[in-house]
Amino acid sequence: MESTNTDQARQATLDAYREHAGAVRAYTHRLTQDASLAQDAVQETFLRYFLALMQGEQIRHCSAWLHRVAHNYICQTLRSSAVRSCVELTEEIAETASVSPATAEAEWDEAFQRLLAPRELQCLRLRTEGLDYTEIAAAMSIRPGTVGTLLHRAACKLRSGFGERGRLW
Amino acid sequence: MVSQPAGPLPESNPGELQVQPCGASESDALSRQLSSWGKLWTGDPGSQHSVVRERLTAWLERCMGRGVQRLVTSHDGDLTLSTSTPLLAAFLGRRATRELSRQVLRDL
Repeated sequence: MESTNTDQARQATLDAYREHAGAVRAYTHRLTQDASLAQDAVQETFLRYFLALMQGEQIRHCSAWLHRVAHNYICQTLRSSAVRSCVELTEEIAETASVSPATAEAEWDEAFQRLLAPRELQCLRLRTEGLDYTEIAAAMSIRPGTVGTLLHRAACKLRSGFGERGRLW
Repeated sequence: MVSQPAGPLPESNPGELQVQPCGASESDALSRQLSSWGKLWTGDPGSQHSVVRERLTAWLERCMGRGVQRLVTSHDGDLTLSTSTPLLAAFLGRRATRELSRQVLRDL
C-alpha cells in the first residue's frame, strides 16, 4: 500500500517536472540572474513537491504551487547568503567589489524593483510567466481581485515611470 | 531570384541570460533521488534508514519532548517518516513538516 503511494507520488512529481520545469526554471532564472542557483531552486522545488504529495497534500494549482515554493526557496537562500556576505565583508573586498548589471534584462529588473512594491513586482513576474489570475492568487496567497489591483497599480507606476521620454532611467 | 543575406547574423549578447530547457539528465537525477527518498520514507531496510531514524528521533524530541516517538512507531516498532508525518503535521502544520522532512532527508 505504502509503496503504491510512493510510486504514485514519484510518477506525479516526474509528470509535473516534465510539464512545469521549464517555466519554473525561467522564473527562478529571472529572479536570481544565476543559472546555478536557478537550477538548485528548480530541483529543490520538485523535491518539496514530492514530499508534499507523500504527506497527502492535495495540490490543486500545480503551477502556482511550484512557483510559490520556488520563490520562497530563493528568498530564503538569498537572505541567508546576504547575511553571510555581510558578516564576511572586509574592507579589501569592499574596495574591489563592483556590481554592474550584466545585461539589459538586469537593468530592466533594477528599474522595475525601483518603481514597484515587492508584491506588485512578484505579481507582474508571475503574470509574465503565463499564470492566470487564479493561479497568481494561489501562489501569493491573496484573493484574485487583489491580483487585478496589484497589476493595475504596477501598470500605472510603470507608465508614469516611463515619463515623457519613454525611458525608465 | 535568391535574395542574399544582408550581412552576418547579429551575435547574441554574451551577457544575455540563456534559459536552457530542462534536460533528460536532470530528470533522471530527480527520478533517482525520488526513488531513494521513497524507500527511506517508508523505512525500507537499508544502511541509510538508521540515519533517518536518528534525525527523526532528534527532531521529535526537540519539538514534542522525550517519549513521543513511542506514539508514532509502526507495527514492528520502527520509526519512519511515514508513521511520524501525521502527528508532526497536526502539531507543526504542513509546511513546517515538509521542511522538517527535507532536513531529515538532506544529503541522502
